[in-house]
Amino acid sequence: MAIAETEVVPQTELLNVHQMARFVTDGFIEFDDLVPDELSEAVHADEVASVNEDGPIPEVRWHITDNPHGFYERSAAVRAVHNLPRVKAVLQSLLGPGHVASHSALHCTGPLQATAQQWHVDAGGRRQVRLPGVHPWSFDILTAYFAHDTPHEMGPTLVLPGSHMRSVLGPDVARYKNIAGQKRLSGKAGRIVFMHEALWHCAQTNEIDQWRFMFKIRYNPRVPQRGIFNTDGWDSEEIRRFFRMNKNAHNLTGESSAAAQERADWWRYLCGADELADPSGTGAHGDYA
Amino acid sequence: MSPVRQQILILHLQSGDLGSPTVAWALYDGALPADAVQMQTGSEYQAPYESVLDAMRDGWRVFQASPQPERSAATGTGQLANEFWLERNVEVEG
Repeated sequence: MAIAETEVVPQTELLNVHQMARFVTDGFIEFDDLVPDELSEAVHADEVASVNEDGPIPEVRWHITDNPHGFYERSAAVRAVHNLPRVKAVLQSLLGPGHVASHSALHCTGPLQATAQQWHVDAGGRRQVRLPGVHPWSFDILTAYFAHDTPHEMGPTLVLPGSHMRSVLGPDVARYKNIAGQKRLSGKAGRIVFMHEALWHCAQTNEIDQWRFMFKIRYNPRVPQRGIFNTDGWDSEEIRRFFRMNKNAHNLTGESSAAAQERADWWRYLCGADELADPSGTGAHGDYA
Repeated sequence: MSPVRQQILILHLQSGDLGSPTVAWALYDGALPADAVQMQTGSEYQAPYESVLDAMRDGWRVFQASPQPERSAATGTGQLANEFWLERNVEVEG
């Protein structure tokens, strides 16, 4: 059963245009300072108690229990993390009020795990490969919360920044192994990352003699995702400069002009701007692309 | 005579020029036994060859190249373009 969010966060606590422009460009936004240490320690204790010599206990395996929120329901601490006002503010900025947690999962990777997950996109792709009737700019959010320190060699989730702009079906990217710009979400305990649903990602090998845990929730929006963050300054010179300077961000095989144009369209949609002004009639998008 | 096995190296280049920089790489090694670990995602941060030409100079043979991508702003972006498949045969213990 989905868990619906009913509270509305005040506008001043929402993501600002600089943070949102970074999300639009990279496809994820990460925070090191949203979760108090003692809360992360409590979640980690609950995570350690959820594995034994056979791996994760059945109660936290939602494919087995048919409970899409097994660990979430077992751990009061992890519920507290995702109900922190600052966490809820980020979620509302990306998804709008009334968003729903469709499912969650505790990902457990054993000590000295020598094989990694393949590159994939969760539950399909976006844009041209979306189901009919789904708005082209609608997106879900995947949270990745690390309750303990996850240095590079422990293999926290690998993401490909900018890949959320690519239209692919999830398993088709499994051919790739190493890609320029790939980034492990390494960091200190309490790190929480908010990812666009279309971001390419995969779990990594674990070179450390300890279990690695990552807790994920997939959230669905229930409103059009436009004008739902703090849009003050969305059309400022500073923001225009940001997009100009990042025009070639994450360009791999020559797709930067197409990606920049899509980012410009999406930015205007996100900010609640009117239809694109294009006095030239050429489809050029001026300063944003 | 020792048996021979195929190794496949897939390189993606920044442009269609075979000398342009490598931006993605994957090795599938037919000489490894079934229980050995093949190249894993995120296992390397430095490409094994700077380009396809660089790999050819080391003995790899190109046997397939992706067609020129049909792209426009309207179609957006998808899979990585400029994909080249290379192979070499290596001897294994019989």
